[in-house]
Amino acid sequence: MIPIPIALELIHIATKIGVKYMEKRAQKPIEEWSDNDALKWMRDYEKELDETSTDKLLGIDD
Amino acid sequence: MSKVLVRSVPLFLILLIACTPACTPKSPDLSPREDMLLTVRDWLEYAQDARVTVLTSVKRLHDQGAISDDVFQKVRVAGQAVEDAQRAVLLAKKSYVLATTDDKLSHLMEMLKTLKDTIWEVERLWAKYGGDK
Repeated sequence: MIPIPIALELIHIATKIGVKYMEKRAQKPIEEWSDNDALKWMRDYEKELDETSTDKLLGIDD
Repeated sequence: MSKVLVRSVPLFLILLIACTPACTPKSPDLSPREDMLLTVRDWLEYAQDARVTVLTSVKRLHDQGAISDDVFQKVRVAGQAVEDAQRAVLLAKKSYVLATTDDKLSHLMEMLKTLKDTIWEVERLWAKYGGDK
């Protein structure tokens, strides 16, 4: 038997990734992206990366 | 506990592999450049989702006492490696989008390979130690 906390985490992860990929499929097709769209996506991604750094997610203070 | 891990690891890996960009169908009409940029974007999104999800889970399990400090630190190091690889790919992608040259493309592909390898590492660690005490 898989322990309940681990089983719940597995279900949580599978659900979260599944939802994300459904959202991604609804995005504008890459063929319609301009370089500006790509650069904007990268700026947003970088911002999200800063807000979700590894130590922040793990609750570790610098 | 070892039996539990042996049973949970394949399930976890199957779930993750099924969600990777490599298993996501693409339009056959994409140009090589569009295909490359889409691949990179997919992997960056996947890396972010996987890192955030795994680290959030690890923190919760650590807070509950379900994983040891040692494992927590190992996952932390692997998580930081993924984060560094994400930033390296992002930088390489910016250079490629702005320059569109072959040397920038080969650098981007090299960084992307590093990112994939580090994602596997953090996922492997999570699967291996996720329920260990």
